Amino acid sequence: MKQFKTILGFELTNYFQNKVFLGVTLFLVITIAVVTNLPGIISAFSDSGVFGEDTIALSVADGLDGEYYKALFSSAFEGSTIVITGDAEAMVQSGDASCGFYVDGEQNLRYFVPNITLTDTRGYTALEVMRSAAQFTGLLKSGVSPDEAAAILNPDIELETVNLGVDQTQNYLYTYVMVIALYMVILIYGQMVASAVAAEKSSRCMEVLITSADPVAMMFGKVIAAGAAGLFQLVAVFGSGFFFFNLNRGALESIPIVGSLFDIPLELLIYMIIYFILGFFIYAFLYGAVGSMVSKVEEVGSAILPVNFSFIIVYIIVIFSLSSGSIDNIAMKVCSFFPLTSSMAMFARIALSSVPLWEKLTSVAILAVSVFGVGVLSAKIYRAGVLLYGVKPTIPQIIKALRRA
Amino acid sequence: MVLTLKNIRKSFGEKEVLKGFTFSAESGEALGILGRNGAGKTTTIRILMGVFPADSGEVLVDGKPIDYAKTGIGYLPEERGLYPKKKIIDQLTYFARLKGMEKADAVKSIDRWLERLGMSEHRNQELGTLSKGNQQKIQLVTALAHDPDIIILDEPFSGLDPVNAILLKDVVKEEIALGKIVLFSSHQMNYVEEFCSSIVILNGGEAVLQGKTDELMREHGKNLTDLFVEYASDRI
Repeated sequence: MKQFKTILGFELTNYFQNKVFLGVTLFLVITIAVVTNLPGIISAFSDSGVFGEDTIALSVADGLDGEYYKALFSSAFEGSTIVITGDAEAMVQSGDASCGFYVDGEQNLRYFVPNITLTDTRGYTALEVMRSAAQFTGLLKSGVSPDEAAAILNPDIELETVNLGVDQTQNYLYTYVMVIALYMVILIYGQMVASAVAAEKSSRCMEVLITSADPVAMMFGKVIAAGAAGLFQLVAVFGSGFFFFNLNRGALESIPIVGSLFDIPLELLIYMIIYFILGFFIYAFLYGAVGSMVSKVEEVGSAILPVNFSFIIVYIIVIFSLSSGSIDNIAMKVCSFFPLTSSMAMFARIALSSVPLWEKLTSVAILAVSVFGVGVLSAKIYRAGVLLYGVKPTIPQIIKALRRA
Repeated sequence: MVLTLKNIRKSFGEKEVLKGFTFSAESGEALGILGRNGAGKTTTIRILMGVFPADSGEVLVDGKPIDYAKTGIGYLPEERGLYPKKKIIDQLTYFARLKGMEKADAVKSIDRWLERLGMSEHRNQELGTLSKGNQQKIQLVTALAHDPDIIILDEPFSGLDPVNAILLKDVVKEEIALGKIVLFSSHQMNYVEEFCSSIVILNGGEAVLQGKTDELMREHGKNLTDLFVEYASDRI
């Protein structure tokens, strides 16, 4: 235990003395600070007129009431200024308006725009405005009073949803964030563990280490230090995100995706933390074992490919199931008990469907036992692997070496 | 203290590396473990240090199975290397603490050794900034800082200039005088002859010649190099 603490302390210091690690963490925190303050920054500039206000030019054919259409468009394009002009097209061309409309009769509308962007919906909005206006006038012409016309066009219908399970629209975001964060942390920190072990072996430092410390303590110390460093980075990123979110709550809460991100239910948060930690460790141990089987740091990249591939396949299954909406399909059910896949698959199912408690507990128990088992096995591979120099050992050689160890 | 390796056998796959190797060494004595490349010296050292177990045989201290918590072992491997990017004091402290020392004691002992080896000025430098010979002296500190009872030195003089070689010789003699057991593996017979009161020649996985160095030379009427050539070469 004393050796484990010494190793953990030493490895953690390595991470926290690493300028790249600290730099990346700081960069992420600053990026979050800037992004979360963006609405405030933009409005500060808007007030001083730097960005200017959005102007929409509006022309109407002779005989039509310009003011009537201005009022209609103003209500549809809230926040934009509608300017009546004789030539909307010219105004758009000169850059005085971001877009323009020409109302050529009640059922004819022309839309002027400098470039059609991917997200441009203003043409359709104007079309809807015109359609409603035409329906309204049509009803008036057939003798319906304005109040009755309004009631016909906007009937008061209420929808009451009774949710018997979880709210996928709410939980979808956490699941995506968790799955992607786990994916990145495992790939980045797992590879760091593998490289660190391979570097010790290639510098022959291993000769001293293996004769000074218990390989199980070495493996657990290294992996837990990498996990703690990764967790620190995540807490720094999400913690600062939460801090800045609260500072700018007024501006950010109106953006639904941001508002729901920090509104995660406690139970889901607990499962997230459990699956995140266990999911990370099972892979980090594998990466450590692989790192001990190569002789040089340059060989780490190719040696870890099988672990990377298996992990990427799981990621794809989970992401596809998330996108398809059928989160409880057979593949996901199988994956949610298999220890290498359950961290992502079972968490996604817990967040997005109703999973019985026994399934959750079984999955966590299988994963926890497997983490310990894989940890001990990795330590054995580590002990056998660190003494194998030269060409990369084959699987039968590793099994033989394991027996020797 | 008497260290005894008794009838050690070890096979890797089909190959039997050690076939009943037996030797013993006493406190205040240096024992030269000699053998050609591949004779099984490193395997013997690793079994002695508990890196892996022997297939059969025993490692005994004063007649009882070795207890690594009580018997400290310091090891200077032939393949040298520490952390090139870490500060010297940090990594030496780390290795001493892995051997069970408290931090304050470790730093005190390391500073004393750095002083003894003339390396104090490099204390806070990264290891990679030192010359090969100086890095070797730092590695020697990892073997000695925790004041071990048994010191294993594998080719300690390779790569050292004559001045550093004399310094190392003095250090080894001091450790012997302090009552340590020194196991010395080298192909440089002049050093073996200078330190080792006893030798054991390992060939084909077993001891083919062992005893007091001067007596063996006198009995056979040969110097150590000739003895080595005669006994170490014919079975491989």
